[in-house]
Amino acid sequence: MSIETDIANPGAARVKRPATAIDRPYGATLAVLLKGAVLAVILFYLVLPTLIILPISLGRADYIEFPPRELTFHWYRQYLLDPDWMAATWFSLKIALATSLSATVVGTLASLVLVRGDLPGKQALQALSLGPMVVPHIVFGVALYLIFAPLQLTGNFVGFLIAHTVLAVPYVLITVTAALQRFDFTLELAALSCGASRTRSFVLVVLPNIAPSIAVAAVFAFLSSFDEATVAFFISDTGGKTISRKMFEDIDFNLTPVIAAVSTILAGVSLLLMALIRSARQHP
Amino acid sequence: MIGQSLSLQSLSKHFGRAAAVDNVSFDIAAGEFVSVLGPSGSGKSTLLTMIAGFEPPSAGRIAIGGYDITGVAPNRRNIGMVFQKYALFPHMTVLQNVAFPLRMRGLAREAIKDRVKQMMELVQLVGFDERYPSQLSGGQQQRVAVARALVGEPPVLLMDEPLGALDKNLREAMQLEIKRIQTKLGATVVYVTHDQDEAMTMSDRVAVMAGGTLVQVGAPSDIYHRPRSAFVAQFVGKMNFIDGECQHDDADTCHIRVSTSLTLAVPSPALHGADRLRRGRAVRLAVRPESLSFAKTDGALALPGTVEAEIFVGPFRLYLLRLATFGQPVVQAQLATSTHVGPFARDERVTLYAARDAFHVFAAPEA
Amino acid sequence: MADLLASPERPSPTVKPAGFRSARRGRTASRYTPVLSLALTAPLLLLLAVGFLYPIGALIKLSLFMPTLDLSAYRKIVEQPIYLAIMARTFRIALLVSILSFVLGYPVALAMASLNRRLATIAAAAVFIALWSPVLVRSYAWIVLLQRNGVVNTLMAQAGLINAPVKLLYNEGAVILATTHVLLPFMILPIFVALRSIPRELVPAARNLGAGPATAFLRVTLPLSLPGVFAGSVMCFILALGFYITPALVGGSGSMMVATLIGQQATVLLDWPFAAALSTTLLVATLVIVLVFRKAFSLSKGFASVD
Repeated sequence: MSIETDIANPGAARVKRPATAIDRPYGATLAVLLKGAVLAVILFYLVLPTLIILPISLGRADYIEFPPRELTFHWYRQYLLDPDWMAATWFSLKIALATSLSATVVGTLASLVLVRGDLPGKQALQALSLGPMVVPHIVFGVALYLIFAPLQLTGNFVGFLIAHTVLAVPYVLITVTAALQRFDFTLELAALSCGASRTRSFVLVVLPNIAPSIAVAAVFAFLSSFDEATVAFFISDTGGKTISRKMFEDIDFNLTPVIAAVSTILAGVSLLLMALIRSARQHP
Repeated sequence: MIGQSLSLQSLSKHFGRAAAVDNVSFDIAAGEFVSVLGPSGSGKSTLLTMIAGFEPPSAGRIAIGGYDITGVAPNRRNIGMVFQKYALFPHMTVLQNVAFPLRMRGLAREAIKDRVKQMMELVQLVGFDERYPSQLSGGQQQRVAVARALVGEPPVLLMDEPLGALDKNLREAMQLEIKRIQTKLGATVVYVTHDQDEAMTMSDRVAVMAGGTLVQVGAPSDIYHRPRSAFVAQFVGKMNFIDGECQHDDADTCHIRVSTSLTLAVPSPALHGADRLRRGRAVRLAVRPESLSFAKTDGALALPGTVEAEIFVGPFRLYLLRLATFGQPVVQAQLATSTHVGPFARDERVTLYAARDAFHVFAAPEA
Repeated sequence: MADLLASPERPSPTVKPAGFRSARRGRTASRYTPVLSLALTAPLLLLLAVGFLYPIGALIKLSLFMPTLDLSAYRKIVEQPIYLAIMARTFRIALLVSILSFVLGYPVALAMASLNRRLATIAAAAVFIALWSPVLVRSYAWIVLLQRNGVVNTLMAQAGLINAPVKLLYNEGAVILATTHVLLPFMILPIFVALRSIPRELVPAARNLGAGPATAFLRVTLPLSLPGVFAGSVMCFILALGFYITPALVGGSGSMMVATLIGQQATVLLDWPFAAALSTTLLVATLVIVLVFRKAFSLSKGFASVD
């Protein structure tokens, strides 16, 4: 805006001048404060449940005590010494690692086709593969129980692997297709023109460039399995249950602060892994 | 072996019904530098993609050194290629990038090392071995791309608008640099560009493409001085067009009426093998701005006009002049700054002169 | 085989005439052929067929055939008022949760998209913590907060606000509060993505043209963020509709939703055809909503901005 127009049209200048903190009327300041307070309350609501479990898990009393009078790792020790909790933890870890591996492989291969393949019905496949994100987990869990029970796949590693891979694959597809869409495929043509075969140009050029995203997808898949509770509730049994299912049961029947300790560990693992991914992406 | 001949025979590429490249035949000699010049969408990039083997041709044949490679996979053609945005591997160092083609051929480690070292010297990048592409300037990345494309001694080097991403000064320096390397190695180069100056500066021959076909192939001076169509005339260099009507064409001289009172005698298009123009045929008379000179009108002389504008361009002044011919077209004329004849006032009446041979006659599209 | 041997250095002699034969053998280097594409998607197709379509198909079949076509399970849903009431409550709670998520989520999305970097970072961190804390952990935390001798009751008693503990848990209010908390990020992220894609200069331009801050927001920012609001609302609604964990833990018998009913029928009462019929109904309702709103419903939209 030039000075001339201001002189020619003094009324406009007043309207156009941006408001600053100094010349805001008193009422506006109050509105800003009010807005800030509302926002603070909402943000507090968002983080409160996650933050409350840490002090609870460190309390000494057998019941839930807040604020805790005495800080102790007693309940963490209880968790580590309890064979049931340990069995559930190892079972969950085994399943989550296997799920991460299988979902990442299956999803990455399919992502290549979704981005660059010639396949009739590609659109339909894409829609179908995101289906597990849309279908309510309760429906999927009940359906799996119906099929798994007669086959004795409940409480079973293979049963869980199938169920959790189905649930994790959409995360891999979304992450890896996005990476492939960002990838400059002239690099692959360049590798071909340098004499690399299709396979070698994929392994030596495409793969290293999308590897970070594949790693992220693997973490997503791991967490989606490790934190999964609904389907696990239905396909667990006394012989094999995940940490989520064990927690679910204990919340219903035996609400001790051990659960707070387990919750803190679960939330810590998830947040730490995600924070690592985030910082790795921002500072490659 | 580096620098072999390339032959394209009746090459076509159809996408659905549209022909991106339509029946192109073209022979390039070993060691020749040929530019394929054309506007975007002219099919020049598709042509390159087919030579590289990334797209199969719909019809036709490609041969290198006399051997048919039409069905050969791109990685077995041993063609070097420099891409538009270099396509350097971002996860590899400069050294690894340049060594890549040799690694793919399974050369021994020592042989690779020697060859890469030679290449780095040739492109003047000694000391940059361990850098990653993202740590290099545009010009340096360009050199790495050239080194990687040439390290395998390709029979043919393809370059797809390789200098498009560089600024003007660097682009001009790199043009000379690429020419130097090409001459030194005796490489056969097919260079795709839409920049006519680039094509003119670097090439032994220029192939002008439009609408999927080759419209003219020739030495840069040929293309510039003897354009065979109005398209080439206006696409290569600056060109003025003056509408006229053929009065008489005797296959040597053509008499063109450009205004009710003025007729010019110019070389007949039949001299270049075109048909003789019949009487009354609408034509377009083309003349380059630097072929025109003019002076203040001191009497009744040919091509009268008025001055519209005068623009200082450095080595010359550019004038926009309105001719008093049919349709009163505005044409451009250049006068060297040192021979400045002005000053001219706006709307001042002047007379334009040009050598008889500076005029080209093209039949106007039939109404 | 010929093309494997042929190379400019070790060429095969040119015996075949120019033309179509050689052309047809070539392939486009930037695409995968149908055969390769099929091979690469085969594991996914197998997985989805065996682990997804087959179980869901079996469940639907169970609801309809026992063993001949029998709609009695569906009739039960319609004829018994208690089940219709649960259906209605489920829709009402899902709607309330979506509305509440919008009201609470929009200011957070605005803060995340704010030019004030500190504010944006704080808001993003809060959303990050909520989103990536496991659902079960957050549901448990709400029990800790709301139960009889929980954190809220304790603090209120200490502050002298109440004499006896108030019943905060196992009712509809608790379900709405906790479910909204769990689903809030799915509302915030699409709105944030939409807000972030609004060109930075539009609001200053509107201000420059004489709009006050409120007008600029109502006439520029809000309309341009509506696709995000729409996507987030649809997402929240369908997730709330079939949500199991949180309502099952913090809800009571008086606030039962469809998912909890399905779980109860399947595991406690073992009425499988009825559980299957309820599941099919829920599935169809969800799919209809997704299909109707599929343009707004971009799964990757919110998710892509998380990492």
